[in-house]
This record gives sequence, C-alpha cells and structure tokens, in this order.
Amino acid sequence: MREDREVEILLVEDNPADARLTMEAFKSSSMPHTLSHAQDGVEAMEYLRRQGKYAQARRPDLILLDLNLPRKDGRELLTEIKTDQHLKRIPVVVLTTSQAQEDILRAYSLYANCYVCKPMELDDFTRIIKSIQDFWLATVKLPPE
Amino acid sequence: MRRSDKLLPGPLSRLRVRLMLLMLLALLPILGLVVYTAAEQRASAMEEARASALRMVRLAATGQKQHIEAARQLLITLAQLSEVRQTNVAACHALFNNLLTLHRVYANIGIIGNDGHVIASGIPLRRAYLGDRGYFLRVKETMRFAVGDYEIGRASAKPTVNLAYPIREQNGALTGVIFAALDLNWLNQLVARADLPDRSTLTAIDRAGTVVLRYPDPDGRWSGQSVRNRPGIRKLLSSNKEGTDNSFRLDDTRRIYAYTPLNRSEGIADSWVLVGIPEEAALAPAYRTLAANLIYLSIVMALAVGAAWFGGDIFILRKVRALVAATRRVAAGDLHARTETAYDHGELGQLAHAFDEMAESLEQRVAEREQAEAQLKALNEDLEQRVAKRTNELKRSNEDLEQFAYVASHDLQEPLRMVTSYMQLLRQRYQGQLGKDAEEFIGFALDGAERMQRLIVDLLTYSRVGTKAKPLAPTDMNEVLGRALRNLTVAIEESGAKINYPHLPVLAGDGTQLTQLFQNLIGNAIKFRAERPLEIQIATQQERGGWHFSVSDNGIGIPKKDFERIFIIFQRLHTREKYPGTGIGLSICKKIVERHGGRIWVESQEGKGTTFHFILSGQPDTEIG
Repeated sequence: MREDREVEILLVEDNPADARLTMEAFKSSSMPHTLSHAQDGVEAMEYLRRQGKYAQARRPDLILLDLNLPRKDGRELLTEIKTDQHLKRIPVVVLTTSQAQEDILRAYSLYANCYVCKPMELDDFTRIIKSIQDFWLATVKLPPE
Repeated sequence: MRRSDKLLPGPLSRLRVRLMLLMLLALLPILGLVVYTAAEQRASAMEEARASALRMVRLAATGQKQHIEAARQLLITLAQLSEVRQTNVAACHALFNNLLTLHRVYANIGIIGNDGHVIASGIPLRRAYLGDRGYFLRVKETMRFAVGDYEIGRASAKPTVNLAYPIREQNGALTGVIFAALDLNWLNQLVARADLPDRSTLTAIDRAGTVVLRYPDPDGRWSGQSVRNRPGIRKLLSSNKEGTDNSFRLDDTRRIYAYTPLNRSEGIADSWVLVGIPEEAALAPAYRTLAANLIYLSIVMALAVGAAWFGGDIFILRKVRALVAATRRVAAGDLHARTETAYDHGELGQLAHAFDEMAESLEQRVAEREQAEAQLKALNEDLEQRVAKRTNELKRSNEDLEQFAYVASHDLQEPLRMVTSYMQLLRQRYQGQLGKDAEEFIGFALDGAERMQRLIVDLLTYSRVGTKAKPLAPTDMNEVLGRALRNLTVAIEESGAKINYPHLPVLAGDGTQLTQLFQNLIGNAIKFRAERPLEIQIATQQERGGWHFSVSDNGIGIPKKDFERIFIIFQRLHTREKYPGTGIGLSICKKIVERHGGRIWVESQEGKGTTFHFILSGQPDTEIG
C-alpha cells in the first residue's frame, strides 16, 4: 500500500473504445490513481523506458496488457518486459477478449502475472476491474521501486 | 508347365504316328500274302525237287535195264561165236579188247571155265578164280543169264555189276560162262548231264547197304562204305518199289531223296539208286523270291510311311497345328488368332472354319465387353475425379469455414462487446433521463447484441469440434454425464426435471466434446419440455457397432418430416420468442458423434416425447478438417 503517492497504472490497449471503457471502470474506484494509456507495444516500451515524449513518465506500478496490438504485439511486449532487468518485476495483468487455450498458456509461459478475460456484460467488466484494483493495488505487496 | 504343352505337334505327333501305323496296318495283308506265297513256293519247290529226283532215279533204273538188256544180247551173241565156244584164248582176247574199246560201258569181258578159273578176258585177270561168284554159280545152276552183285571191280577198281551167260556145246553141255562187267560210271555221266540243282547226289547201294557208287565222290571215301545204319536206310533196304523221302541222312546235308530199286533178282530188289537234292538248293529260288518280295514290300512300306508322314503333314498335321496354335493363342487371350488354313470340305476344314467363326464371335464379344468396360472405367474415373475434386473442395471449404468461424467469432466478440458495454453504460448513466422509447430501443439493441454473441459462441464451439479436437482417449462416461449435469444445474432445478440414468461404460472419446453432447441433448429436452413434469431417461447398451446411447424425454416432440432437418446448422423449428436458440446445438451434436465414428438420429412422436439415439464406436473417425 502506497499512501505517499498515487498509484501509477499503464493501460496498453489499441482500441480507444475499449480503453475508455477501462478508464470508466477505474473512475468508479475510490483509490487515487493515474491511468496512462499506450496504444501499441512500441509506444508502451517508449513509455516504460522514458523515451521521447515520455521522458518524464513515472514507472508504472501495474501494467494492463491487451494481447492483440498493432506494430508490436502484446506477446512481444510481454517478452521484452519480462526479460528486462529493470522492468520484469512490474506485475503484468493480461486483459483480453481471447479465451483461447494457447493464448492463456503462452501468456503464463512468458511470465504474465495473471490472465483475465474481458466479459461481455458491463457489470461483469466493472466488477473484474474492481477486483483487479482490490487485489493488485490494495491487497498484494508490490516490489519496492 | 501347362498341360496343353504336352499336345505340341512335334515330328512324332501322335496323329502322325497313328497315320503311319494305319498305313502299315493296311500293308499287313500284303505281307501275309507274301509269306503265304513263299510257303506255297517252298512246297512246290519241294514237290518239284522230289519230282526231278524221282525222274532221275527212274532214268537211272531204266538206263540200267537197257544196259543189262544190251549186255544180255551181247553175251548171247558172243556165246554163239566159235572162238568163244572153242575157247580160242588169243582170238577171244583180241575180240574182247576190241569190244571194250567200242563199248566203254563195260569194264571187262571174259570167260570163266567150268572150274571157275578165268580162261580169257579183255583186261587180263591171270587165271583168277571167280568160281565162288554168285553170277557164276547161278549160271551153272540155271543155265540162263544171270546178274551178279554190284561191286567194285577187282581188276578195274570200278563200280561194276557182272552179267553172265552160259557157253554150251552142241549137245548142250556147259563149257564155261561168259561174263561182262558193266561199268556203273555211266550213271555219273547221267547225273552230270542232268539239269539237277548244285550239290545234288546220286548213290547206288547194294542189298547189304554198301555204297557201290556215289556221285560226286571227289576223295573216293564213299565207295565200299556201309550206310546201312544211316537214318531211313534200313527201311529202304526192305522196300521193293520207288519213292521219295526227306528223312534219309547219308551225309550232313538235308536232302530230298528219291529212290528206286536198280535191279531185282527173282522179283526182289537187290540194289537201289538214290538221288538226293539239297533242300537248300531246291528251296533257294523260293527263298530268293521271298527275300525279293520282302524287299519290295519294305520299299512299299517305306514309301507308304513316307506318304503318311508327308501326306499327314500336308493334309492333316498342318491344319491340326494351325488349329492348336490358334487355340493356344486364343486361350492366351489373343483373340485375333485365326487358323489361316484353306477351308476345304473335309472335317478338318470344317473344324477350322467353325473355330475361326468362334474366334471371330469371341473377339467381337470381348471387344464389345472391353469397350463397355472402358466406357465404364472412363465414367468411373471421371466420377472419382469429380468426387475427389468435390471432396477436396468440400474439405477446403470446410476448413475455410471452420477457420473463418473461429477467427470471425473471435474478432466479432470485440466490437460486440463494445456495443453491449456502451449500451449498458448508456443505460446506467442516463437511467430515467432518456425517456421510455430510448430505453426500449436500448433494450432491443442489447437483445440483438446478446443473440449475436450467443451465435458467435455456438459457432465457435461448432468450429472447434473439428479444429480444436483432442485425441480420443479412454473416457469414463459417468464422469462425462456428471459434468454435463453440473453445467445444467440451474436449468434442471428451474424445470424440475427428473433425470434417470444407469451406470455408463468407459470408452474411447473426447471428454469435453462428449460433455457438450450430453449437455446439448439434455438441455434440449429441458428447453422443449411440455406442460407435464419433465422426465428424462438416459439408457445405454452395447451393440455390434459400439455403444448405443439414448436420451428420451416426454416433451413436445418433433414432427417426423423434421427428423433430418434438425441436425442441419441454423435450422430452427420454432420462433425465437417461443424457444430461444441459435440452431447450432444439434449440428454440434452430430459433428461430435461423427468425429467419434458413430451416428446420431432421432425418434419422436409429437406431443408425447423425443428420443435421441447415438452410437459411439469407440474408434476415432477420420479427422474432420
């Protein structure tokens, strides 16, 4: 629990509607947080390595990752993060519509911290986002910076 | 080796051999005739030999009689001469000498005195004593002409017979005996001149069986030899007339003998002459004829055999060979084969003609059949190609469809989720602000999105039966059914359905898919239940094709005309308002059962209930897709 500052979350999602929906779901949360949005893998890596316009970006406490992304795919991005000495400790929650067995297996093989399917219903989705917040941001001890 | 190869018409074909045998058989009577003729000729040659031998002995006997008669005349004449009567020795000597020169048939002529001593003779006998001689004694006794024994002359060493006559005085008193020794060598000349076969013999024997004369007698061993004990001679000595006999054996050669008494004294034969003709010589012409005939016959037979050989070849074997060759070719499948012989009016020609006609019709029929077969084959190939092409197309389109269904359903979820989520967000945020119509419209949009979503899920499931299948492994059907029932817990509770099932077997299958199968069938039974309390009966039994399962309900039933249709994808029997659904469930069931190498079908009575049957072979079918 970090009471000294706001929690930093990076959402990697190519679909703006989907991203907005996630943001809306987070809005209902009472926990103070900052939600940054990267539209593809390349942009996400720039953000994480504080390159270009993200030079001032903060290191995120949690990454929400969609698998199907343009330019750099979510799986590639996951591989890069989990093989990077500085980034690999950041928890990555894979948030995707795919229920395919191989996607789930592959994500865990690449050291994703958890795999969550986006449900159809808005209520279900809101509940899932809330439980992610409750678990990853309020329950677990995140690694020190 | 095939049996027909033994019938190969080689140079010694059975047919040819038979033909030649037939020819030889036809010539056999001729051979018989030849042999018969030879036998006849032999008999007649024997007869002829006998006749000529007999003629010869008669000639000899007659000649001897004439000689004796001539000698008697001579002796009678001499006995009248004064020189003789007065016994003028010198004159007699000269006279006799002169006579011997004139008549070479006499070996000697002489006078024997009463005392038995020779007084005078042509060839000097030096007062030899002949008083003991038979002829002398007989003349003295009978005073008549007498014939003496046949003997070898003492002085002349010639075979002779002495003939004697009394010399009488005026008063009739005997003064001496005049004799003449008849030289039998004239017989030799007789035989030598006669036309008798080579090595024919003439033998004269006396009553004691002693050879007096033998022709030919080159080394002189025959004269004086006794042949009394030779075969047949004793019989001869006791006979008194002429005859022939071929049982006599005087020497080593078989001869045909003719005999006759040469002289009779007082009616009894005291000497015989025998003429022997060698059988071999007598039969030689007959044998020569036989040999010649046999040679001629052999030549004829050789010619006949040759004719049979070549004639058989030309007239029969060529045709037969052609027939055999053609038959063999036809048997080997070459229906173009023809005998290629000229059809004459003979049986073989007719056979060849009939054979060619048969081959012709056979060829025609085979050609027709082959043509039909070729057409059929072409049709088959075409059909196979088309089926293969269609199968390939179908498979590809199936694969494409499944791939498409999978990808599309996956990618379709995203936008659909957006539609649903934002509609719901709209409803949440602006509840009570949009008005009744707007809320109803939002409801329709959400309902459409929900249906769309279910369609996508079902489509995904349907496509996954083929593309996401796991290999069939031993599966406990009790666990499978348990899982299906657990998935349906809410629906079962809500409907109050009573479900009965027995203990189920373990069989090769895909547990996930079989769960889906039971889930769909039981789910259907619940969905299409009637007013009455729902009862579902699950049963199973082992059959020849595998395990037969059935799921029966007492629901609304299905019209018979729709038994097939319900298994087709997207086919629905009811309005969506009455029974929601996508129309994919049973087609998924069908696909699952078929993937398990089985089949599924339905039995139903409208208003009474429905039973779904399916058989799981336990063997995997060829993978779909």
